[in-house]
Amino acid sequence: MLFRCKNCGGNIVYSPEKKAMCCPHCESIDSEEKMATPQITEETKVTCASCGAPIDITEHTSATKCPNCGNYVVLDERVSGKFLPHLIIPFKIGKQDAKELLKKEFSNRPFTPAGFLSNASLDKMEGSYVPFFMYDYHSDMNYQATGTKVRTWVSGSYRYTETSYFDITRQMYADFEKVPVDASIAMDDGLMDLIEPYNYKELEQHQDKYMSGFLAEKYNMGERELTPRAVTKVMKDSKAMMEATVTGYATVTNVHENINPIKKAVDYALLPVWEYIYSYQGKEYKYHVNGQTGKVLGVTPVAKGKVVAYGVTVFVLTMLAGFLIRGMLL
Amino acid sequence: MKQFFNYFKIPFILIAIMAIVCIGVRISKSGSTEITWTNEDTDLTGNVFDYAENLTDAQERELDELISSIEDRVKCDIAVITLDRSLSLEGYKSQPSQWVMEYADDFADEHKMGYDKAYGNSIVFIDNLHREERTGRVYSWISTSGLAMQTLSQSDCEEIMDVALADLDDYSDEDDYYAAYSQVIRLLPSYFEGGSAKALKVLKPLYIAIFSLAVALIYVLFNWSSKVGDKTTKSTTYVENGRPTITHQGDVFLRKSVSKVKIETSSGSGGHISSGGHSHGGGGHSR
Repeated sequence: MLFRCKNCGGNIVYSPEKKAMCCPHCESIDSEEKMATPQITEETKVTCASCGAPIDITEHTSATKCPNCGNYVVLDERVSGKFLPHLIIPFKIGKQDAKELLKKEFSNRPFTPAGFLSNASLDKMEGSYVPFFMYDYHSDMNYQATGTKVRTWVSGSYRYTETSYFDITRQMYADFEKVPVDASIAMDDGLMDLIEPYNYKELEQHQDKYMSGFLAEKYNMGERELTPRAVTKVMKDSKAMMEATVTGYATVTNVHENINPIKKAVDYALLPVWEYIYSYQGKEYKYHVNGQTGKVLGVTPVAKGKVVAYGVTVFVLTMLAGFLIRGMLL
Repeated sequence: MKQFFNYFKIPFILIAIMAIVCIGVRISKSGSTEITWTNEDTDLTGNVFDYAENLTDAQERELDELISSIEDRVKCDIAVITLDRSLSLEGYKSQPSQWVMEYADDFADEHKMGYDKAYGNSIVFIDNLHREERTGRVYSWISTSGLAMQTLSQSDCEEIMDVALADLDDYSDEDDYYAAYSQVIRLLPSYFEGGSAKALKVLKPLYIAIFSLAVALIYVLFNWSSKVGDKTTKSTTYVENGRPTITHQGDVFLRKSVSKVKIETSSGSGGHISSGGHSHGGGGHSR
């Protein structure tokens, strides 16, 4: 589908700043009408509903941008039926705000190349909805260990050490709600774990209009395939919660833990991420901004000439400071 | 270049301020000679007594001039003595390590040393190059009296000699005794003016260079960060009500054991009275 403006015929997109569908051409608000897109004939090609140009897609693309007319197209059959998302968090951070967040995070890094974060390269930044499965789990936990508490005191010319031994037992449970696991092969799992958390108070029932103006994928893997990752996250958090209740001991040994996670429900959701790709010396550097909270992730490229210049300057300044202090003391 | 100067603007300003302060301190130290000598009773006419013939005449003169300038800063009468003979036959009853102490104390008393008065503020540094047969060691001592005794603790005196005499081994022709003795004298004002030889020990040029290199490396490593981002979820982020429900919590005492260790103690040492009946402080060094 494609969202067309009733007033001027332009492509209407969702504006995070205005929290509404906006026409970038005539600035009309909520004046959209849906236009159906032609069916996907080949797995890697679709025709633009606006200009008819062919658009390259991957087997997982569910929303894309026409390279010819720049209109955003949502692929109906990849956001319906078994691919219909249950939930979505609409973009809250707009492109301009995402650029500013990247600049704020990285502009004070001294070794970045000159063109990094230039407006020309930042304009290529795109917002994407990443597919996630959200798992609800009930986790039963049992913990047993031996702990010691140590008390020391001095009497006469001797120091005494008293070690007390305790049998530590814990039984507890926790209900996990919407533990997110990304279902995109293209997105690095570690990065998507780091981009958490999202504020679930802003989760909504899915609406197609939120996807206009952004790229998106349907889930690349089924929820059963991703269940082991969800279980790992639940087990890790359960273990940390158990250990957090064992405090005040000098040592804890003979630890026996038993965690039993039980799956209760699964939701399919789309979560917003801004992605900026910067190429430097033949290598691609990827940066991600949480489209809701503004959290920024990424490793900056390093210009070796700057490393030498700045490192030598720090060395010389420290030497000067040392000799000046010495001069004052002598 | 603009980015470079903006980035280092504050360090450049700080270094400039430090340079100005350093110049000011140096000028004020070199100009503080308003205190006058008031001890008319001493019979000493010089500051260097090189009985071991360890220094050239030129070095003796330079050391003497250096001592004269330092004496006014620390308000103490200072003498440097070198010996190259055993003190075992001097009639001292103490241990070999304290013979140099007794010699230095007696020297100060016999010559009525003092900046302000006889037996007043004085510092005597003695270096006896003779390797005592009983211990096989060479002993040095800084004897203090009056203001010097109040200012320089035993550990301060030991620290000064540890720093200044560190490069002497007495077996090599390359030993620079003049440099070592000058360093002893140069280190003294830092204690009277709130400084410390320990700081200067740390601030040796080689150490400054190594430290600066380490700082530069740490700076580069810190800024060459390969960290993608911080983890901002907790173990309870996705847990209903933000915490688990504890159905049972047991911390049951099982048993206890008690062990004991004897505490080792050590005793310190303070000032002492010389054979002339005057109070002296100071500290020693051997190599």
